[in-house]
Amino acid sequence: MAKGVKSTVERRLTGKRYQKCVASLFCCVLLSFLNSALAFNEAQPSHAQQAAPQASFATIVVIYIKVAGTSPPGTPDYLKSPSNEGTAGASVAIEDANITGKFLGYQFELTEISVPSIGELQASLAKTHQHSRSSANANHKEISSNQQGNIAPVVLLDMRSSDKVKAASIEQLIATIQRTLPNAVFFNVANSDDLLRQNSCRLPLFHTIPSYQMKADALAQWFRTKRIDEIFAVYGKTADDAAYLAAFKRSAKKFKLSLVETKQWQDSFDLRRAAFAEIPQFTRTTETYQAVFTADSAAQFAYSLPFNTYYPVPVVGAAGLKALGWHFTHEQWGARQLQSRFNDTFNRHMNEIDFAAYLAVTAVANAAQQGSDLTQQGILKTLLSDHYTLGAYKGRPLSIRPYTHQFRQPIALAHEDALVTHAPLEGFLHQTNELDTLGSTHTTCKDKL
Amino acid sequence: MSYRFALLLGSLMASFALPQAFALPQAYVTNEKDNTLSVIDMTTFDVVETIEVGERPRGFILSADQSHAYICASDADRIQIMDLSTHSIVGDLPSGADPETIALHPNGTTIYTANEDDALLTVIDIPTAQVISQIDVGVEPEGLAVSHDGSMMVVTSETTNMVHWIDTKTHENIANSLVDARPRDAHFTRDDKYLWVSSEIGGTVSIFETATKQKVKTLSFAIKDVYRDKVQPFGIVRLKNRPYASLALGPHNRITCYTTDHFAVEYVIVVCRPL
Repeated sequence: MAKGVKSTVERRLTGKRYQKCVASLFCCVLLSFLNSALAFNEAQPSHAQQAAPQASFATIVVIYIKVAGTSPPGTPDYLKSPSNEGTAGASVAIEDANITGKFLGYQFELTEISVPSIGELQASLAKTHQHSRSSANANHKEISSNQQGNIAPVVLLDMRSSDKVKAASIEQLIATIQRTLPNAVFFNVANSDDLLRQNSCRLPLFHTIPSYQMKADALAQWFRTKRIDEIFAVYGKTADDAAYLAAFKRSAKKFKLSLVETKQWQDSFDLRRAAFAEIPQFTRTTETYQAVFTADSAAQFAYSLPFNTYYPVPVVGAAGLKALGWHFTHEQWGARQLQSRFNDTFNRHMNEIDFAAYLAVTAVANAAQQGSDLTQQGILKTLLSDHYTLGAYKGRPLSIRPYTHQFRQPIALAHEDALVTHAPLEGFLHQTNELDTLGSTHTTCKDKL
Repeated sequence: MSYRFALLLGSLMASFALPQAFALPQAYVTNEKDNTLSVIDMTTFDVVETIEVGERPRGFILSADQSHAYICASDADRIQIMDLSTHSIVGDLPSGADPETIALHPNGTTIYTANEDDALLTVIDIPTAQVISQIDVGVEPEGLAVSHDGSMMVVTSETTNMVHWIDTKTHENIANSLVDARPRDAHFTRDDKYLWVSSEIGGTVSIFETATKQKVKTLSFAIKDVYRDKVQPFGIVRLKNRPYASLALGPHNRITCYTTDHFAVEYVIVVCRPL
């Protein structure tokens, strides 16, 4: 309560909306959500609330787990991800949620865990688990016996696919975290790999970041609309790049585009010195092309392709026209308000990972707002219900695909200076929901939740 | 439903008003990207004048005697006062940061404005040009409505998805009611018995009994061949001297009329997206 009031006053006086909350010890998190479970039962929102209840607040713990290896050499400084990428989006969502929570009796808290590799996270979780379990046993016996009624911790996962991190290893990671936090609800906020969505139907895992398939379909719809048929694809060396390329190949087939050539980036010259001489050579093909698709998640080369390809044609994908879950130039449908809240707090633009984290917290905050059950089972039931929708500044309600647990959403097609449009583009129809012209709706996933 | 009415709703306007003081009806449209106000002759539908106003003009209302207009200049953090006989800005009012929408109390001297970026409602006294009170409300306050008897006002918050009920005497937030996603417009019925609130993303209209602040009905809209996520109710307008209200339904180009007593629904197709 005090925190909510304080932040409002501070905002009014200084315009600063952000109070970063980073707790270092994982056990503190565990204990605080165990404590809060009891408080929540007393603070269930009723239909018409009297203002500013003084009763104890339920606390919903958000844990942002970032596995960020060092960026590979060659990435220009100006293209490196901001260090608070993702957590900044979660913070803004939490601030919004806590203004609402002030009226309804709950608050969200953010904890960040950042490790260089999955191996270290597994080790650190195992250690924390042991530690928290023993302290929970020592001090909170009565609470641990009542775990069934617990508010689920919300775990946001930020890890890209790499040679070391495969979709399968992320599932193992979830299993590991579940040993410590058995009732957590997981949100993938950074990984677009479609493979990661294959088995999601049986996991308490949702994807707020669009899949590569959704992004590739959005680009393909733009190609079709512009009557561009012949595409040259260039991809980098990471597993992420291979995943985007695979998705694009599938889209090309679906939308009848022709891939005239596919080529991997080889790092064979210095882009700082030789780009104008070498890129045209690198992008020279035997057949002509009308556009270049790039998959380059590590920002190794795609940035140097626009206005420099052998055939002077549009570049899309990792540079030029990008298909994104969010772009800072999007202002419609109230988005300008969210953009300015974000900019005012962090002095930088909101990117799609920030937005995916914002969405994940907002999905749970919305459930809290509606007075839904906030246990793991309760949240899963709410999010997977047939009528689930979520407002998200995108002009139409978002919903969740039952097999992939992917948030259906419009995809921004944008370049550095402006939003071009949102996909699905006009004319691409679907029998139930036009958003399902982007990405796949079904998988072979069995044992659906 | 006359063509004129449909066109009004269909225009890309933030707000409009028809001052009765003029012999010829005129509509005023705030242009938030142009920092101007367009004046439209409602007999010919031509823009007859474009007036420069403060930065990012959005909300617009007329004074009680219809001699002046109050304009939210959002990026200037002020409410501007325009003399309608000369179309010149004659003064301004403090508003708090980023005023978006604006409503006038029936007493003619109190103005309410929603400070969208700060989750605040600001209450302003016109004669003294002073802020009387700032009230904490939900995230992105938007729709404002003052009851006709002046005792109560409400503000909707787009991201908190609530209607906040404010006592106009004490400026206290006395209750908060949840509605469906992204509530936009709010209207009290003429007898103040009910409050109507449109939820754009939720696709519903909630009707509250003012006395108890309880939801008594939720209107939803099933339109043949239109997927439910494209039904986005927003603007509510009561038709003068008729027991009808009209509701704009978003991107599939329909508005709906319904009787305010038994909620019979009729859909009307219009030429472009009714906001």
